[in-house]
Amino acid sequence: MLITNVDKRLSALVLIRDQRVVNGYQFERYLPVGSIRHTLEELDRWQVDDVLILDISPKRWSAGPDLDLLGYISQLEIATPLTYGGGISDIADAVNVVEAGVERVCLGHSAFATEHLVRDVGRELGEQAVVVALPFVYSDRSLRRYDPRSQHEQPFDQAARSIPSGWRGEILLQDVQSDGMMGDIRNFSLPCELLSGHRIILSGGFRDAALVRQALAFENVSAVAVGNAMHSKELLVPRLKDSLTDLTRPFQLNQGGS
Amino acid sequence: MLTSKKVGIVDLGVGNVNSVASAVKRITGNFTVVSRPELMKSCEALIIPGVGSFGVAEQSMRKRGLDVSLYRHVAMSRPLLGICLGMQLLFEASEEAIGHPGLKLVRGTVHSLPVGIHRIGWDVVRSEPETANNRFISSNESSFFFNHNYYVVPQDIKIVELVCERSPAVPALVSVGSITGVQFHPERSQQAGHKFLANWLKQC
Repeated sequence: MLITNVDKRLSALVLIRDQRVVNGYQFERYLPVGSIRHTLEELDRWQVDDVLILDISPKRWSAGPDLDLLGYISQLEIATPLTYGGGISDIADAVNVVEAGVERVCLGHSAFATEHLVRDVGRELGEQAVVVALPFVYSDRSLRRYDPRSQHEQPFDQAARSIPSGWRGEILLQDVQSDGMMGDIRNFSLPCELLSGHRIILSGGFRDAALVRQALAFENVSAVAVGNAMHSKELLVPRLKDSLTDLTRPFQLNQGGS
Repeated sequence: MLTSKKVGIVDLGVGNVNSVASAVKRITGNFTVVSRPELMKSCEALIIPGVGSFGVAEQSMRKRGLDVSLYRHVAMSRPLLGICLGMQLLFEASEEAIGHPGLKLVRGTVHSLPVGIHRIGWDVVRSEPETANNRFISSNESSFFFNHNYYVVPQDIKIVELVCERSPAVPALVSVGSITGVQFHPERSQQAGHKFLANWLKQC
C-alpha cells in the first residue's frame, strides 16, 4: 500500500525546444510561446509546487544536457523545485545536471535504451532524485510505450519492467494522444493500474480543475503536471490551486515565490 | 545586511550547489562555493547542500579532504547548516550506505522510510514541543519542500526543534550548538524557504 505523507502536487511541465518554451501537440508539432525566464518566473510567483523542464531539442540526443541553459536558469533566482530532462544518458550527465542547479533529473529514451541506467543513477543521486518519463499511446486498443526519439512503440508492460522493482522515484506518465488536446481520464486508468506499486506524475491535456481532481484521486498519483494550458489560460495555476485546497498546497496571497 | 560573515557553500562533488548558491545570493552577496579545504578556512558560516546518496557523498567529501575542514569549522563554534543529505551526513551512519560513516558531529543514525511511504512534495512543519516558538520559522509560513527516502533519528530527541506534520517521527530540523540540520530544502521552498535562510543567516 502506498501512503502519501506530503501534499499532492500541482506541477508545471515546461517544454523547451531550441532554447524557447514551446507548446507541444501529440509529440508531433511544437509552437513557441515565450521565454524561459518569463515562464519560470511566473510559475514561481504562482507558487506552483514544482516544475519539470523537458528539453526536447533534437540536438540534445547527441549533445547531452544543456548545462549552459541550466546555468542561466540558476541565475534567475527561482525558488521552486526543478526537475530537468533532456539528453541525460549516463551517471556523469545526471550528476552535472544536479550540480548545475536542479533537484531531480528526468530520464526518457535512455531509461529504456540503457540497461540499468535508472538503477545506477538512482544509486548515485538517490532514487528520489530520479524521474522516468513514460509516454504512452493506445494502438489498436493495445497500451504501448511511445519513444519520441525513435518514434517506435513497445508493449507497455514490457516497458514497465525496465523500472526496478521497489523503486522509490517517480514516473512521469505522458498521454501522447491528449498532449495539447482535451485530456481524458480514462486513458490513464490502465497504465496507473499497471504501475500500481509506483508513484506517478500524470501529464497530457490537463486544463481544468475537474480533470485534475479526478487524476489526483488515483491512489498512486502524487502529482498532475499542467503544460500548454498554463500559457493560454490566465492565472491557471492559482485558480487550480484555489479549487484543490483539499488536495494540494494552497496558493497564499502576499507570498510571491521570488 | 543580515550578516557580514562570509558564507561558504560546500561542494562535495554531488549536490544541487547552484540551487543553494542562488538562494543565498538573494540574501547576501558575501558567499562563495568551496570545493577545497583551504577555501573553507576563510568562511565564517558553511552550508552543506543536499541531493545525492549518502555513500557517494561521504566518499567524495573525504576524498576532497573536506571532512577535516568541517571538523575544524565546528570546533571553532562557527555556524554550519546541513540541508537534506547535508544534514544526514552530520550523523554517525546511514542505512543507505552501510560501511560509510557520517561525520559523527551529531549523535544518531539515518534510517530508511518504511516501504510505501512517499515524501516527495510539500509538508507543513511544526515546533517540537508544539507550544514553543521556533526562531527560524513563523506559523503562517511553515510549508516546505521535501524530497527524501531516508530520515534522521537523533540519539537525543531534545535536539529536534521542528517535526513534519504528516510524519511526526520525521525530524524536520535539528540543532546542536552551532550546527543546524534541516530535512527540507529551503532553497526550493519559495517564500518560506527564503525566510528560513534569512533567519538562519541572521543568527550567524
